[in-house]
Amino acid sequence: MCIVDILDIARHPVWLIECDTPVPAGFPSPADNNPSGQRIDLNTILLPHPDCTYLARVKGNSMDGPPSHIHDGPLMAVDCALKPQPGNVVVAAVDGEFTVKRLEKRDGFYWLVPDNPQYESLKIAVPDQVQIWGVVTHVVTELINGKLHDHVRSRRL
Amino acid sequence: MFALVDCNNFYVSCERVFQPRLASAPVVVLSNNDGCVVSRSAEAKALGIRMGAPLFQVRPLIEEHKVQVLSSNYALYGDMSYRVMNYLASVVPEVEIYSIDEAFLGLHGMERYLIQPESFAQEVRKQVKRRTHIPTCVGIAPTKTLAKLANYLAKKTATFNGVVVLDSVERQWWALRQVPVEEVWGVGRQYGQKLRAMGLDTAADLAGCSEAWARKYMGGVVGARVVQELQGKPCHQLHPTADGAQARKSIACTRSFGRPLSKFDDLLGAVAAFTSRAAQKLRAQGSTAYIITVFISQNRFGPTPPPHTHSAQITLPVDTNSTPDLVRAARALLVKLWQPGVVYKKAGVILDGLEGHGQPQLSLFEQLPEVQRPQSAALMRKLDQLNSRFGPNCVQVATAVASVPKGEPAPWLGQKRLCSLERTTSWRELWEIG
Repeated sequence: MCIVDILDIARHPVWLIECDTPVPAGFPSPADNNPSGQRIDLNTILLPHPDCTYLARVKGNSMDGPPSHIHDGPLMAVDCALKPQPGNVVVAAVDGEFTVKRLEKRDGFYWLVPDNPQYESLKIAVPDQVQIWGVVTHVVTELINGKLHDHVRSRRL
Repeated sequence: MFALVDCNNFYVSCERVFQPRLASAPVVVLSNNDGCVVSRSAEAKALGIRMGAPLFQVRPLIEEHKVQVLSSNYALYGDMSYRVMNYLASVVPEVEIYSIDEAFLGLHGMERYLIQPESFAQEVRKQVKRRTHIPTCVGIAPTKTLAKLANYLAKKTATFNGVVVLDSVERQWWALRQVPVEEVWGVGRQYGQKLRAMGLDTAADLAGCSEAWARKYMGGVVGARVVQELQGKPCHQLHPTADGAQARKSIACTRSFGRPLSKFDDLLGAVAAFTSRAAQKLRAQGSTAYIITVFISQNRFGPTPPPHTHSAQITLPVDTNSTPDLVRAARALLVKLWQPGVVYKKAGVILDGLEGHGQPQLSLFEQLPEVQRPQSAALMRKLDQLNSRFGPNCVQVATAVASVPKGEPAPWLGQKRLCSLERTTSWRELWEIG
């Protein structure tokens, strides 16, 4: 049998010597000296936990109002690893159906609140009545006829 | 120590993730082509619906109790499985993905961090549930066979809260006494009956046997290992590979047809399509095969007496993974099997004698395939690339499509009348929430 024991790792940083011998070829780029030239990767920002993030499309306008202004049609990223906090927009299962609402806490009770004032809030009186499925982290839409064109309903200007 | 994490009623649980109305209803999922029950919710089990029961046999029960019936949605199950396995791989040094819904975790070297294996297991269950909404059970023990057994007990007894840890000899013997002998990993029904006839009813009775006895009565060294593993001496290690899944030793593609077929051309189309799929799987794991088996079956619930299945096998002169070579061999086998006037319900292709690519067994009389047809490997590579980029079966061998009328689905494709949507893998069927 093979027994692998995990050893304590070094407590102090190990300093490596940097070999700073550039190889000259052509003209140096003036941008080379700017160390913060890391490119921005939207994937890592929108999907920090890809294995527990699910994509869904918004249907209806119950959240079309302040502060979230989520209208009918865009994609949303739903992250299940996050702990739902009051103030988050969440996906919840209510009476066997999914719904997108804002989770709020008022006078000791949790509520599912639509941001569109034309809809009514739901008070979660019995804990088992509602399951919070995940937290909506981002809403993605597209303003041109690009690759997402077929998959989102966006407001055309 | 090993842990076995097993998803409860996996297919049903996957369906429930995106359909909360199924939450406490009796639910069953059917096999390919809506033939048999392959997954049952706890409520459906309680109604007495057996695993593997044909749909028509349980239809009265289903109608009486309003059981929700679904076709299998493998795209969804595959994606949910991937999510579960990726999480498991992030919490332990080694994972062996044993099947779509279970994985062994190697806990060696983690002892220092696992003062309480029970709470580690509960944390794994909690996180899997939170991230994927799939319920699981965990068994922890010093051998894989005992971990399986612990998992069996965790599933059977609700009061254990989904976790059984067998970290002491006393607990191991207690567990062995609870489990019927045929439920032991590696025993199975046939040996189970034999052992019962000898008076060995529980796993404990089997664990009390000597190694010499097991060698004699339980198929040699394989049986001896079962007994030793039950006694807490590990014989099986983890077999992790790059993607966690094990390289298969045999590859099969067998399906029931969407409707019964009798014409030779239709059956040939089906067999060619199944062979192409098996060959693609073969190439995906970098193997070649030299034994090919084809079978065709009549309806086993129909009026004709058995045997309902006829099969034929051929050993190829040189191992190969080229689709045209394998389809040619499959066709020759089908010619032997097919009878005019008979109605067939199912066919299958099985590739055996798998070899790692690049270590071919040379033949005395045949040239190597790459000498005979030097472009073959490049052609297959292009074929796989095209199909992965533009969708499965974008490019196929002509034999697989020749008998299919244009614009119609192939008649051997399974029926999926009750399929849920591919919520996570298809733009067209993306989840919508109001």
